[in-house]
Amino acid sequence: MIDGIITGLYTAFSPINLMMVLLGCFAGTFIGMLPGLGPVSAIALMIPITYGLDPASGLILIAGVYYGAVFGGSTSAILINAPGVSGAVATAFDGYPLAQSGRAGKALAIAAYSSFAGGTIGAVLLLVFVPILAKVSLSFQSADYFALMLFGCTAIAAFSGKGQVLKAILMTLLGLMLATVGEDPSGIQRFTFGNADLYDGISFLLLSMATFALAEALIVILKNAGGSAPASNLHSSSLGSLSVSREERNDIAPAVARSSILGFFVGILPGAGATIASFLAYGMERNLAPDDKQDEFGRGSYRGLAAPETANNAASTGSFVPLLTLGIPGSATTAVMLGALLSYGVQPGPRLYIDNPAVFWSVIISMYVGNIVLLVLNLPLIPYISKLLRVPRQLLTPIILFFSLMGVYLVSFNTVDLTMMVVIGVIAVVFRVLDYPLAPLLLGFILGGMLEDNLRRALLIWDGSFAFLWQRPITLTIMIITLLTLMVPMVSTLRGGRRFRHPDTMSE
Amino acid sequence: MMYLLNNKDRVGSLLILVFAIVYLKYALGLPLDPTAGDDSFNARTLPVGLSIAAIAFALLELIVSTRRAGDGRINAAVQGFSWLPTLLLVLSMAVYAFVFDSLGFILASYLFLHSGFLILGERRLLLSATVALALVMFLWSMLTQAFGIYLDSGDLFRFLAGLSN
Repeated sequence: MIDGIITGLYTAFSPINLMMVLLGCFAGTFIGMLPGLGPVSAIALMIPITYGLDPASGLILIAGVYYGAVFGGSTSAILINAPGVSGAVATAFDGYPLAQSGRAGKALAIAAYSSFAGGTIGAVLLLVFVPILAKVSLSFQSADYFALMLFGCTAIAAFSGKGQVLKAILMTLLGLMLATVGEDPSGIQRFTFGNADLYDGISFLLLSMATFALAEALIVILKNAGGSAPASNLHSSSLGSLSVSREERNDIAPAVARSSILGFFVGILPGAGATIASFLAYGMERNLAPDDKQDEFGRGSYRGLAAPETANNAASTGSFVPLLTLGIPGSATTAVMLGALLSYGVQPGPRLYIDNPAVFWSVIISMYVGNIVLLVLNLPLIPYISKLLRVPRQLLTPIILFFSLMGVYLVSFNTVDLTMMVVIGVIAVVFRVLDYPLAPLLLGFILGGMLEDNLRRALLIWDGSFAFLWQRPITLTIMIITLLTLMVPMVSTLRGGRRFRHPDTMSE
Repeated sequence: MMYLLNNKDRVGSLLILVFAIVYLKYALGLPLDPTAGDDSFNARTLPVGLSIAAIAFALLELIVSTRRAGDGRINAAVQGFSWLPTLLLVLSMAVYAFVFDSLGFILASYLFLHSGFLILGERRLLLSATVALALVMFLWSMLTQAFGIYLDSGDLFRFLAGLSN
């Protein structure tokens, strides 16, 4: 393990990778700040650039973009009450009132310090838990992986909230069906209709760009959010001081510590993610606060701002645990990362720890470096970066669309992909309008290939029998958890009751 | 009938149901590997299983959505939507994809960006043209000069270059 950490340190601190963290954090902050564009879109937009890099550098850049986008999302939540990501919704509850009362700079600083603390504690916990879990999962066989893939698919549906469970399952199935397009392992063409452009299947980059970046930009136009006005009429001079006093630091410190641990463990759960973590942390702090402090929540409480900000960063870090140890993504963002890793030829999972220690450890260490970059460099630059919010939407939106299209074209150099992207983008908009979550579709698509491969192998080993589902203890345990995860919210949905819509937990 | 269809949940599940039925039809027609014998797992196994699951869940959602409370009306959800600029922008993206090979990266991208700005209501023509041209030229220089990526100059450019020679 020590050797691995040293290799990771050496890789993460190489000049090129430090530059990648810097570039990723800056680009992520810019993109994440734009209302409507979250970390998934930010990562999808950056993936084409990473294809020319080695896997470690590519993933470090992507991790930097992730952190930057989460930070950028919080910035727009505080400054203009428009959370760039669903994980920053709770940040706006107290962040925006603080900004309105002339304490925007202080709110941004608290958000940055809390994010840093959450990310740091999360990174330390990651450092402890990932190797342990990776070692345990080394004993996993194809049957267990098949069960894990099923769990990954169903967990997302389970955490979608009442009224959304069946829709999330349907979208996951749609994603799994789309994953079958192209040549199967036995060389048979499936659903290609003789079209050579489909022989290799639908590119994950095309699907993620179309369903997130393109669809989100089109939704912004469709809803005419802001019309031709700039994204914000914010003036940098109105930010106020960025400093936080010792008393304020002491006030938020316990909330930060509690929310870090809560956020990390919620983040580990596949499908839960930063949104649930931030809301839980906010609720927990409000309940724990003394009566006189409870009234401040929603009106500009420092604890109310620090708790969700800490939790969403710790959860973002926690969501890397299932990705790095089991090869199953816990969120849409890590699903896109999984797709990126697979396209680099790197197979995430327990073997990553052994086969690619440089990638494994450098990514974990880079997360920490990314947190430092955000605190030391991005925070002082926020008054300048936030000027991006003043660019008129009528200029910004076509540029986003152009970069999305170019991102896909520059990988395949095939204009058929552009047409396909437009078609899928329009279909994605239709489903967004119909209130069907798109993240499960992407997750199903990315897990589809692995799910089929593992099922095929398991059946081959077990002579075509499905007995592995109940005869292997690990498989059986995962299958029981999967069924419970799926059945509990489904039964609740089928029994009806008051409708409760949860924010799309998989959008971060 | 219209009342039944004016619901987001039902229309979504109907769309997936239709897709799953068509998918199942093609899945059942998938060829099998003649060398594989009677393998329990073949090219059809997963697609058929997935489509049956999708049909079952889509039907379940159709039933459940009729009992679900809350306002899921489509006409309420799309009220106030800016259809025209969105459709024009989608059309401009489709045209961009269609003319890319003919016009080449620079001209096609410039026209797409400029038309996008105009569609979304930017009336300062000089500003639109400058931003579009500057962005396209910057990206072109970066990609071709800094990264050494080849970008097609387009059939039109080659035709005009041929004429001048």
